[in-house]
Amino acid sequence: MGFTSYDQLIQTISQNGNAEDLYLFKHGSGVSNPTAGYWVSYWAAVGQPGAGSNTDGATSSQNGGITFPAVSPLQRYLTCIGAIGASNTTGAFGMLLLYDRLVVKTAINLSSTGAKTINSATITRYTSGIGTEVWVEIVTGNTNSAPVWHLSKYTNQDGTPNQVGGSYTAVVANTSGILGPLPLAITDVGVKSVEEITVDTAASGPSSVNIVIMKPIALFYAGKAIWHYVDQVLQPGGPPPIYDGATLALAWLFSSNTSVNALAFHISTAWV
Amino acid sequence: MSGFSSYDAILNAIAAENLQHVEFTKQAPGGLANGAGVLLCQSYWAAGGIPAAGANSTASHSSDTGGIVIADVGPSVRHLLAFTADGATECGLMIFDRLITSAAVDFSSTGTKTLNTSTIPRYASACRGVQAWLEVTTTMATGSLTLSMSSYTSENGASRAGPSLATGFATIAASGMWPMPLQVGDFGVKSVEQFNVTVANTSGRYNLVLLRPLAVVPLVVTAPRLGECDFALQFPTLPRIYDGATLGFLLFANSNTPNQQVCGSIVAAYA
Repeated sequence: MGFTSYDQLIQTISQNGNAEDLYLFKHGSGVSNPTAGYWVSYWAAVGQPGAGSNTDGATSSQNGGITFPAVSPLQRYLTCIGAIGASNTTGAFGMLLLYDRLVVKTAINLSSTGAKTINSATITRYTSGIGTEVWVEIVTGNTNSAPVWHLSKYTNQDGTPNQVGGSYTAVVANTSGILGPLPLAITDVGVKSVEEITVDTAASGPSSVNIVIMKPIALFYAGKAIWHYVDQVLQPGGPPPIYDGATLALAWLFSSNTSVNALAFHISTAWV
Repeated sequence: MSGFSSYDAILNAIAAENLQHVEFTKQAPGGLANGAGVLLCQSYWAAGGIPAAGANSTASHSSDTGGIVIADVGPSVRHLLAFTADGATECGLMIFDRLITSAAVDFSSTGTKTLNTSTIPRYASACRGVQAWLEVTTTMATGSLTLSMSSYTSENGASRAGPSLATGFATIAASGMWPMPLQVGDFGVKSVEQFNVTVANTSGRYNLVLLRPLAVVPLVVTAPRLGECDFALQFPTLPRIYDGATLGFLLFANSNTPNQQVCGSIVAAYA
């Protein structure tokens, strides 16, 4: 499985038509202003794709994500990405994270201390669990300057339950901030499900968050109104697979406090 | 079999002069303020130069004046190999296939506006990625314009309704251009039947444009300044250019309010 030569990639695109080249966009509407140095989720921003909503459970080509027709028994790969940040009066520099949104658990209240039951679904893609991460997506604003959380029960990449992660000190985060990844136990390299999060410091913490288990796919740069492509075949060491059912989404790490930016981006895939 | 089977086949096509190399120069289309959280861009459709200015009239575009038009190559398959451009302000220049224009759209009153565009002339069987943009043709005064694409046909042939978008723009001169959001789950547009305006803007007039983006080249201001993209080896996307393509340009606006001439070239090969 996979491309055996660069010529095969060219043939796949040109002769077989087993490739797709999408240019997409997100307006800032539906996203709150970012805090410098922290990620903003563009899941709920309107555009193409449209604003996503959240349902508890494992995702499969969920509306709101960048989704694709299934190609099994072939395998789809990411071949190129690109982006530009635009239409903001101050502009902003920052990094974009393209990730596969694997599992969501909604409406978790982190405004008081103590253990919070999560009992998420188990991931259905990247089932080895290796490289999967747990992030906290803010639904109602967090006004605490430094709430502290930790994963107090999760199932690691090997299926071992009741693992305990290290502490994570969050920041003031507006709605649509996405904070993480939450630290894992030493020696762990991934998460299959989350059973419990403990809030160690809580005053004015967010009263509603989504717990998101994700698999990062690629990092790339979104500059102040300058376009960047990133080749995913030769430059970073090989095209990452995009599995059937993928629900890809974007988060943007801004370098400065600014009003929210619109975004145009590009994603190319090919399958063999 | 049409199309390229290898990079050697691309080189063979070039050696056999199965190649189309077109240079372009488009004059500055006019000033443009920035949007606030809306992806506001600038169209070169009505700008003079080579190719000449396009008309603001309703059309299903097929090798139309105003866009870069290149000779048909069917039944061969043609791909964009390279896109280069130069401009004075850093940003990005998109080349796209202009499919449909619905002209003189009037959003000066609230309510339903019926367009009933024809179906796109290319990409109709695979229109994921086709987008609907509004292109300002008569200056839109400062003020609100809130609207939605309340009835359109998606890539699957389904009747759909997009969400409301509050533009919140300052004055937008002719050439301003922004994409309309789709209903969640959609990735393409075959035709647009209606808009719904909830907050009107009395002064502007617009083209609704259905287009298929092909590529973007970064405009860089550091010497030697020419932005270049190779779509075979550097960024392996090989965008396909269909017979009948009417290739236009848009610029991603930024805080420097670009109002600039752009020039450059495209190189396509076919087999």
